[in-house]
Amino acid sequence: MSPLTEFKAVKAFFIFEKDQGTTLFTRSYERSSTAPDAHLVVAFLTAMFSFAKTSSLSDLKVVDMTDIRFSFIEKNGLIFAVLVSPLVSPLDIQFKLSTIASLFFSDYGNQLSSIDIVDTEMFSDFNDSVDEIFGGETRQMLKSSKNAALFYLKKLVSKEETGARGAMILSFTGDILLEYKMDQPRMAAAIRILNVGTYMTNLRYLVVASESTNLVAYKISEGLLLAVDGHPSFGLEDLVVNVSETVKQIKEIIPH
Amino acid sequence: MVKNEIKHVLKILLLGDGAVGKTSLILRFIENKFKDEYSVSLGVDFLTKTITFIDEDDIKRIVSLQVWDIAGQARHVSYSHLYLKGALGAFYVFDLTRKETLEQIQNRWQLQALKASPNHLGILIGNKADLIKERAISKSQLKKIVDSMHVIEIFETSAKTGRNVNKAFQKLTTEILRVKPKKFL
Ligand SMILES: Nc1nc2c(ncn2[C@@H]2O[C@H](COP(=O)(O)OP(=O)(O)OP(=O)(O)O)[C@@H](O)[C@H]2O)c(=O)[nH]1
Ligand SMILES: [Mg+2]
Repeated sequence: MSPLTEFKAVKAFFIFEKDQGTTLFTRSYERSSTAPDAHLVVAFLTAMFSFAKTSSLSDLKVVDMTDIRFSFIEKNGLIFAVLVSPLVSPLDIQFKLSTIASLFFSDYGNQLSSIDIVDTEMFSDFNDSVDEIFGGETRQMLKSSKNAALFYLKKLVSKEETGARGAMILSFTGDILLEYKMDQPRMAAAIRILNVGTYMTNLRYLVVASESTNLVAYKISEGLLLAVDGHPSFGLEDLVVNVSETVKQIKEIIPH
Repeated sequence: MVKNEIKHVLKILLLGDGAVGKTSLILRFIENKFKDEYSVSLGVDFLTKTITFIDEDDIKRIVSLQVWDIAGQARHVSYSHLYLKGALGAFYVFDLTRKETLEQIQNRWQLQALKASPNHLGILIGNKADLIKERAISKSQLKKIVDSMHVIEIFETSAKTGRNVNKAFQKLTTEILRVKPKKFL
């Protein structure tokens, strides 16, 4: 199995009232035996909110547990929360949660204020939208483009003299579209660092050198990055030159 | 004497590349404010503003404008139809100092929006008109392009100075109300 499927993993999604903790909507993407208990999750999050009385939209809040992460945003007194793998890009989750929140208020906003006892059935039409947003890819990339791009990633990584150990193509929010030989912890770190990817409108590339990696992120087009994990004992300049060549090649095969 | 009142909800979209000024135009329109710092929009959001007027039949129309701010970064998003659908109008915003942002309107944004909301009215917005020295597209170039586009009008705006912002919103709203059969409203 490719690690990609794991990275996509959204385990469950909830909408609940911040103050009362009333659950309005839940959706689980796990088999029922391993599915988190919605009531427990909501109870936990509600307790946490009353403890830490802060929260605002635009800020994605994150609580990391051993191999699971809660990410949530607040809007108009409702909390939109997901349980995800910690390897999923936080920015991508924020993007999706914010979109879901807007859709929810647009579809049900009028009815919300008049509800006393919540009939969660009322929101069942919302399932499809939520499934599409969490299940779909952030950026469409044709299969043929993917295969062709993968060819260039392989070519780059197999050039030993550059020190490139792994490479991936990311959407601006850090959603992994394509990946070749990326080591998992370094991949997760890279995604975190590349939150700045969002701000790359006016940047061509970005280099981060640390003891464990020479990370080069190069803009392919608006909203699309090539990130390369280079061995730290190799020269950065060589790597950047090679990455820029790969970007040129990928540009030719990806429609703008 | 006003005979009657009717409430409408009108969904309109602001579409265009990152940093062209969509959020700024909305902020100017709704709160009459402007911010110099750029903060990238993450995801989509909508704000509402209610406009009331009395039409020629003496009917009081209370229009709740639902203004959708679509992140420029969302231009590749595969689920965009979910929030683009049901729109009656759209502002296609580009940055007068960056030519490629105009190209993307034709190449991407209009195609997406027309697919999801085939009957909406479009207005083209060339924003940042206050940056006269940095301007990259001349009026005559614009004129040519607009003729080939699916829009009813073009406005040159500045969210910074406020120029033409209210005018553009007014135009789109009144055109929608005029053109759309009343039963849809
Ligand atoms: N000079 C000038 N600057 C503007 C104008 N409108 C917006 N800006 C600036 O341009 C930058 C981007 O504006 P935003 O409104 O955030 O752009 P946006 O289209 O919402 O961008 P995304 O959210 O990334 O899609 C900000 O720094 C604004 O201050 C304008 O009319 N004139
Ligand atoms: Mg914005």
